[in-house]
Amino acid sequence: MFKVTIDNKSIEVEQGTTILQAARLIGGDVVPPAMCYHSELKNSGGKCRTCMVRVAQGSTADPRPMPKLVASCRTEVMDGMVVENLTSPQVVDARKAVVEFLLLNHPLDCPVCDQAGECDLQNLSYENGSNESRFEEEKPQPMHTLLPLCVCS
Amino acid sequence: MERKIILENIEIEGIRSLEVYRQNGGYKSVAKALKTMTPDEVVAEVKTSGLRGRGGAGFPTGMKWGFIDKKSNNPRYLVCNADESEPGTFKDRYLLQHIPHRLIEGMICSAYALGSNKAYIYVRGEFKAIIGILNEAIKESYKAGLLGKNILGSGYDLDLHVHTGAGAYICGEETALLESLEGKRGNPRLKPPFPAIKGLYDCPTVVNNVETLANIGWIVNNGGEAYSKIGIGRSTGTKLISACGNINNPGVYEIEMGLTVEEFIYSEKYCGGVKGGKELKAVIPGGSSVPILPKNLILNTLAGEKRLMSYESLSEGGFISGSMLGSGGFIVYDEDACIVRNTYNFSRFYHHESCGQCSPCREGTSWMESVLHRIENGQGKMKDIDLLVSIAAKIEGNTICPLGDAASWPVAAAIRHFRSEFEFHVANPEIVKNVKHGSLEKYLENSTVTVE
Repeated sequence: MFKVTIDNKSIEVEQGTTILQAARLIGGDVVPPAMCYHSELKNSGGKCRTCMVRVAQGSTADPRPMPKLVASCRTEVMDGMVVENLTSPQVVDARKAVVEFLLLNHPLDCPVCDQAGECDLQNLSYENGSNESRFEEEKPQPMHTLLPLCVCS
Repeated sequence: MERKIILENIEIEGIRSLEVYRQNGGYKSVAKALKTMTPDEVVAEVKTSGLRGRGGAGFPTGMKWGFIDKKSNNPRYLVCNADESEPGTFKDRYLLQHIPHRLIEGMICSAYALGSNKAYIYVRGEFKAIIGILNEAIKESYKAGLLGKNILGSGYDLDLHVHTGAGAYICGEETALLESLEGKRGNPRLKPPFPAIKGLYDCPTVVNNVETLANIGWIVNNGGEAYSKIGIGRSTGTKLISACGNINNPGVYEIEMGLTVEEFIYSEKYCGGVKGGKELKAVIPGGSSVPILPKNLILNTLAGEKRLMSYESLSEGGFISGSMLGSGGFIVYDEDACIVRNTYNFSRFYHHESCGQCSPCREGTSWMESVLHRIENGQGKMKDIDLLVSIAAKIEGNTICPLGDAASWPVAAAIRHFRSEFEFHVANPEIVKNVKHGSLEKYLENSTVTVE
């Protein structure tokens, strides 16, 4: 069993568990949002970059922090790993940036969208997005977003 | 400080053929490595030599070889990255075109050192002529017993294949290259696992640049110790620099690391000065991805020392006042070059070449391109300049592969060093619309417009 600490909360998990799965076992605010990962889909995840977290300590054996933010859905835990999600300003900033990028070419037709109210992307932008858009170019016609878990149509 | 390792004997007529290449001392290292050295000894020599990857990142080659998973029972692969697509870089093409056996010789020694019996050369699809040259050279080597079963009677087998890419820039990233080599779409993989553990077909793999592998023959022949004495500090050996832009003698030059940038630009032996006697404005020292530097910072560091052509010296000062040696694509701009237009051109390239799998790069590169297009065409606003800096900072470090960084660095650096030029574009849309090239000073001298 590997001991992993996420936002100061510790849990023991099996070897091979990803940071995201460990965070979901803890539950609550420590769970990073994930838009392109599904536990049942093999090799999914790692693409949308919303679930990025900072690894402040790699493991007990090698306590160096990881140089870049990592995608928690595809990074396996090590024994003694210390992960920062909401406690790291770098993670919060990066997540805001990713949400802004995800919404750039999204039609944002929420008022007339069938999915509104039950939309992961809407929740994500409510929690991490900005009220104003800095994108002045013309938006494309409504289209499917590139995220497999978002089913707005 | 003239010294030739890779381009040695390149002036001899017919050096492209095996016969002439061998008459001039070629393939000696293969006999030496296979018959008198163990694979570990070859790796040790490369470690001693301090050779660093010539593809751009400058990672020590010996260390990279040391990471290969020796416990795995899977076959090991050596892959040569000849997918040279960085704008401004054309050193590998020159090498492959004129002296392809230098690469094959280095690859045999490297594959032997890694214990690999199968090696691939991944060539960029646009290099149609070079694919023929390489296949011809490999055929000659097979006939001479330098490739295939039982090479030179040593009992070591090696098969070498040429694989053609389809022209995507992203396939120069090592994991995307491996995906492409496997026959899939060239999307970079998430790391870890690194290719040394799980690479081609999930087997331990080493991916090296053409120029890196071309050095191995010399290192085996003369020893790592001798190689480490060439160059300066941790930048050992020589480097191929492909010089282009507004200079008198564009072309590929082999220089010993430690040459001053000033000498490289102004010496008749190398670039021969700026074309038309114009003033030097800026230089991109390592291919389009690395930060651009204005004249004062490329010739001297912030501390006032002369800048040298080496990994350390060019990156001195970080990205505030430094750049990178990168892949050696040395692009020189004279006083008439428009930095905004140039930056727009690069960002258009990165938008086109982004593979689109991760969101910051897919969305960010297209956003940067459209904002720069606006500024370049006289529809920009002052806040757009800060917006570009912000987008670049948000892409950097948040992507799967280094293409996101490569797209954001040139934009951030251009604004850092040439902000007044961007402001001029925003403030004077009429001039920008009508005149496509020319520097800020020149506009101001010839007109009454003032920049606020």
